[in-house]
Amino acid sequence: MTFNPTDLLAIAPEIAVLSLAILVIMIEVLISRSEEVLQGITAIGLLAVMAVSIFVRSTSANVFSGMVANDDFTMYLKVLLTGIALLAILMSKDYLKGKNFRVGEYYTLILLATVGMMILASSTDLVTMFLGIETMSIALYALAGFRSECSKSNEAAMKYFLLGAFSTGFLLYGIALLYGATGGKTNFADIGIAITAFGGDNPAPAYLYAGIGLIMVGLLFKVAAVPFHFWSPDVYQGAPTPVTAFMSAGPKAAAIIVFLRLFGWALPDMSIAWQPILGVVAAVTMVTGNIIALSQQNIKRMLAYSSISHAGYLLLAVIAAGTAGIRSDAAAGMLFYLVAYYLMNMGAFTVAILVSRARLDGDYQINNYQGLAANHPWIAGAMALFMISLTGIPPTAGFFGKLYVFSAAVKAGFIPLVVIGVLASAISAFYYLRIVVYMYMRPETAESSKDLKPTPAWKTIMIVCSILIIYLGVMPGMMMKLADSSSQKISSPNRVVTLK
Amino acid sequence: MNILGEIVFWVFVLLTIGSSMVVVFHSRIIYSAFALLFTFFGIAGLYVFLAADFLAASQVLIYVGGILTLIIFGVFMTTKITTLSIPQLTHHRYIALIPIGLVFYALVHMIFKTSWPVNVLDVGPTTQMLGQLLLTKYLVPFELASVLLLAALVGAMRLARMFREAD
Repeated sequence: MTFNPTDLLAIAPEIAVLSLAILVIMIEVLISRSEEVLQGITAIGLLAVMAVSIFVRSTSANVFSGMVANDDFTMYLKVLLTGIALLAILMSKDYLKGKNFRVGEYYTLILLATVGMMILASSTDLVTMFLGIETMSIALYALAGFRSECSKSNEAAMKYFLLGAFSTGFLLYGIALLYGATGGKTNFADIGIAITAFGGDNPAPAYLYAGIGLIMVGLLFKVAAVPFHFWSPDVYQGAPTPVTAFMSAGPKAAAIIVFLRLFGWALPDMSIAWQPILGVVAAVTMVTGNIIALSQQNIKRMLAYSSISHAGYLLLAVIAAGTAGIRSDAAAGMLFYLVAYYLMNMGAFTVAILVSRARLDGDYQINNYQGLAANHPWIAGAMALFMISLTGIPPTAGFFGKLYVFSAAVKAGFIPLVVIGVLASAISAFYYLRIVVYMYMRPETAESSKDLKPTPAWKTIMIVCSILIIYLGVMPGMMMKLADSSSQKISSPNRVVTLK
Repeated sequence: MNILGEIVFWVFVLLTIGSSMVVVFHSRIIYSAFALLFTFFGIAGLYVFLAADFLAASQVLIYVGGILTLIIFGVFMTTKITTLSIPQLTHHRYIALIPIGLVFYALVHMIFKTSWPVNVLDVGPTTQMLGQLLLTKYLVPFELASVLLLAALVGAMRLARMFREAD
């Protein structure tokens, strides 16, 4: 087998983001340290990457001997992940101002994390999956600790690194056992074929189950599902807020997608073993995340617990993907949900930055939102929209995201889980709508009447997110059509390579 | 396996397990660091028994030659760490026995339940095959590893400078 140069087209977006990362850090070293220049180049570069993702295509379904997927679904994911990086970078400049950061390194690390996420989301092989996870995580560990003067940020980096390294150990152990149990296969499709050989007189070895369990633990840590969620509130609180926004949307999306690909496309024949376990995890995640969020007084911690519960909803799609005939529905639902979640979460974090900056000590207490609507009707309106969408009330994108994921789970026959999911969403209304109540029904305080001074970048994010949330909430048809048609043809390269 | 090979195998097994016990249980970190040397060496020996010659050589080169030297330098350069006694007893250790016991049971059960393949194919030197695979089938992961290292490098540089600026 020889190297086929046109395969490079399939990973053109990754190559473009990587080149951009190197370009940005070299410009910082050699030409200019200006925040405007570096941010401008990064943002324009990411827009170019989006165009590259959409227009530069390879027609081959089996690129690099099945190491990465090359299909429409993967392309949409890459556009989504680039979009997450773009908004995080737009959010960052005014946040970084006056904090004495080397911004070039910051943007480079975000871009490198994005490369990792893109690889992870498109990986169809255990080796690329592992390298993607590690590239993404290592960049994130450094980003979490970027506010070196702040002890909370150092704590976040340390905690994230130690627990992350530990979970990597589990993941790798699981990969090794799975590799052994399938007779030396790493490709998702090959693993799927190897597993069909088990059954009857040839039962699956015990260490196949152990391997699947350990991989599950490693991935559940990355998506912050209960009981592997302890790191996430502290890390979200300590990390610089644009990084928190990036972390809550990007890595979660990338990890849950590889979860879906691995369990839905490589291990569907083992679904009897893993569906019940994941079902319990998803139920506990949805309920616990929402209940703990109720008592939070800090908006970053509240959004951290909210993102834990959203991981629970997303796990429903992974579970549904294990049932034959449902997996493309589940993938489509997940794609829609991820887009909606990205928009509302990025929007909410932008408002959180704005409100906290205007406060004396820059804190993130929920009390700060009292009476916000009186002085800032537009910002309060946008925040209310993000909160309503996070709750999942129509006509917002969040509603249709939940609807599509839940309906895939119903089709797969997991009705009790969906009932738990709906009840958990009802619980979540208490804390999401509490912010709306604070903004509109509490008297304003001296603090909340201060001008928030939204900069053009933040205004842009809030406007774009709001418009898209309403658009997807009122006319979800087009996006759903894209998600449906692309998920029907998710490539599962299946070529068994033999050594000579 | 002939009787001599059997003896050498068990020597490596005992070396690995014995020295890793020292790593975990010794209260002086410097002893743990040196015991780790023998653990890595023992594992390299086990790789040889699995006909993984390249892996064994790189285990010695990278872990013994590189990482361990780094650890020992780290120990040396930390003030008072040589005399520091690390408490080996942890909180809630009786509660911890339950999950650890379960994991131990599961692992032992798994080891005895599985019919492991006993014949290792003698494929000869693996280096050439590995090299070819890295540049054909595993080309993308091979290049990705360098992206991973780049991310680690930029992150490490950032953290290192952070402490220098704090001084």
